[in-house]
Amino acid sequence: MAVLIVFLYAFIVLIDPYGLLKQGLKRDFYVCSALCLLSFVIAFSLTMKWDIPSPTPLIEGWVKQLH
Amino acid sequence: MIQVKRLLQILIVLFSLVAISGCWNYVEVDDLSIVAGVAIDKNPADGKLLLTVELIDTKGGTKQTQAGYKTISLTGDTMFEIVRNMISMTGKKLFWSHAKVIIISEEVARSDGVIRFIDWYTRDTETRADVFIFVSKEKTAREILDLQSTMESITSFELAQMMRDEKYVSSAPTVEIWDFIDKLESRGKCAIAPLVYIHQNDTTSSERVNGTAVFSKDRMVGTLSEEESKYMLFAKNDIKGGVLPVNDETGIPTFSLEIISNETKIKPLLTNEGIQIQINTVTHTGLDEVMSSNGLSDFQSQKAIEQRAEEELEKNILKVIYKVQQEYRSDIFGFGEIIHEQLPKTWKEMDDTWENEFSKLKFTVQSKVMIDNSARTSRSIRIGD
Amino acid sequence: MSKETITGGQYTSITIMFMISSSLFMGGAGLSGNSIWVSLLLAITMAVPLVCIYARLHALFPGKNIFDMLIAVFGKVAGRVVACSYIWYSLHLGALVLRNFGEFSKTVPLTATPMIVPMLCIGLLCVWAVRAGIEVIGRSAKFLVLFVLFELFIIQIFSLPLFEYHHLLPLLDNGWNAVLSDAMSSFSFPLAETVLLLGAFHSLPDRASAYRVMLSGVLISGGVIILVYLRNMLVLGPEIITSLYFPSYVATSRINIGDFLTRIEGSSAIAFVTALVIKVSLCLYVASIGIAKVFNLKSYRSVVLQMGLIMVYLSVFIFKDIMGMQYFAFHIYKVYAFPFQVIIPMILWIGSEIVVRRNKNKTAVA
Repeated sequence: MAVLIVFLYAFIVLIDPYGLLKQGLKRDFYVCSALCLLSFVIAFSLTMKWDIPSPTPLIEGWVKQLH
Repeated sequence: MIQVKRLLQILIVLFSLVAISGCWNYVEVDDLSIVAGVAIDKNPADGKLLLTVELIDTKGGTKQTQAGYKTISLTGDTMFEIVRNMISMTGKKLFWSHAKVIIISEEVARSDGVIRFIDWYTRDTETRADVFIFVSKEKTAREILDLQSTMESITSFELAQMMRDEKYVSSAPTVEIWDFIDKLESRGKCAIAPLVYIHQNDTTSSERVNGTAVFSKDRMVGTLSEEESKYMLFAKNDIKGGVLPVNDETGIPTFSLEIISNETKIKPLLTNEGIQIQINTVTHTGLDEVMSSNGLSDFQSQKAIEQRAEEELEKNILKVIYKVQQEYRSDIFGFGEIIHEQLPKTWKEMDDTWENEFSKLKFTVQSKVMIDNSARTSRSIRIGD
Repeated sequence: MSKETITGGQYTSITIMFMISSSLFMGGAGLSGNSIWVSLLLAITMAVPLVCIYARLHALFPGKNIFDMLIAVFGKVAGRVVACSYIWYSLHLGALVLRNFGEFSKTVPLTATPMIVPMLCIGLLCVWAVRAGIEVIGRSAKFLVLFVLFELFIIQIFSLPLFEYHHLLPLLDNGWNAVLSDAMSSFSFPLAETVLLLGAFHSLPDRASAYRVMLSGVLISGGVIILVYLRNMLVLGPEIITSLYFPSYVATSRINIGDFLTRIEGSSAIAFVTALVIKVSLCLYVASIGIAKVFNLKSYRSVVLQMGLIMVYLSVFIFKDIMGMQYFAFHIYKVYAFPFQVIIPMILWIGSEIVVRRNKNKTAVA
């Protein structure tokens, strides 16, 4: 499963950020690759079933403090 | 480049075709055992749950015109456990979406309470909430499913069909499981279920639906006969058809009134002595049977019949209400809910002790029976000489 | 890149679909029981002035969206910081809605399918729609909204025989506190979420009246939501609704016309999914536009795919289970969303009035 994700993301990188680089949009390329890296990390952790910290408890904590 | 794009588009379309048609998991119909009905009993040997399911045999194929059926029984501790264990008996997973009937034995309904068995049924996604629920008057519930019945070969479907036509008879209520649970959960209303038992013709026996099982909270506490059930349905505004027999002056049953429609209005009144419930029924009927030969020719006698019908109806409705109120102390009519809706402040005080308050209610019944027509003949059959 | 514009009518359609999507299948539970229609009316009255403020912002800054406005009023740095918070809000909302759909799909129709599959399918569809542009979304919304409203209308008619009017009594059974609390909930979800539509304001033509567009959107969706909640209440009764996760689904499953039209609740899910796609597409669009503005990118299209994927992943791990989702939706969301929906826009509005006034004076003087 995890190998599938790696292949899939290799494919995505080829279309998305690489496509942008070829079009010469430098800034877009940087932001897009940063986001791509982020989504890859999350996807990988999901397939490896690692525990990802969810923002929900943070928000719940803040709201409870307000009360 | 255009070639590649085209190719990609075709691939995407093909892929979505595959993805859309599908399911993550699919099962062939052959691999399913379709459940038609289920009966819940208590195993006499060890007191555990005994579940009997009536399965539809899909091996019928093209030769037979009717689907075959068979029944399987199994014991266990929890409903879901038994249901899954049945796979080891049939070799196929049970498919519940077509089930039409649940029969609970009287013993289980009285002693154990019904919630234990119903929760799984409503929670699971495969089971549907529009199955009819019955209480078996025989010793066990599985006897009913084991019968070889008259019209169709599958007892559960036959029972379901009876329920659909029940409105023409009004001898028992029709209760689907969501309705049953609604009433269980509501404060100020208690649940009822129709009774089913085995009727012996000369050589064959068939199932018959007749009478009501009265519940208090989730246990069965009593029964109502066929006649009492009819008047109970009057009080609940659930009558859609049926027959009202009327006696003549001497008390002999002579006339039959077919109920065309009925509307019952219930109004709670706050008096000094507590709450009085006023029940008003307006029934449109047709005169369908005259069993004597003296006079049905004029308007007066028609009015007399109406009046007698009204008196009898009032008397019988009161009788049923008092029986349920005093003997069973169970508010199956929903008077509590009506008080909640119309006199909310009073309800707040009575809410917690409703069973006691219910027994203190007073009732008045006013019935109006109108004979709209007398079918095809305008007078009774006169005996000439 | 040419300027993408959508007409006012399309904008209204997007607004309507945006707001009714979740209510179509969740609609019902709350503390006020059978008085929930009162809370909804209250919520709509509270939302109307708020929506007028949003519309005013469009009049003050024609052709600009919320991110431009934030940068114009609060300056390059602070504006970007607040913009980031809206990017997060939009992403989070999209993930919440997707998760709603995922839970629904896992609970009711596709119980054996892992939740990420339907969510991913919808997510990818939305990525495609957003990549195609707001015009595509606008045109689809205009057509689809008619379909959704028509289907709702048919289901209302079919449910008529099941209505038990006595479920509406007694009025205000649980008291005014419950009604007010529910009004606040309904206000923040879904009525005041229209703040996100500010993110697409740059595509509304200058001449179009934002007031008309947003007010008609809010009023029409408010009416639809009241009808749906009323239908659920009249069919099921206030007590049962509290035990169900998806009251609308159960209410439609009871429809039985002449023993022929039964079990049509499956088709009622179509309306829900359609509205959902528009809502998620809009959230994704606003989030991508936000990133493009904050980082000064050439086009928002570059980041859509990644944002979409992140949104889908987020929806997988934000909640552990459906109970966490319910708790968040009922208790936490209305407080958490309040700054985004009310506080920041109000500050923005006051700031905008000052800035525009100042600019006018400047040009008048010069």
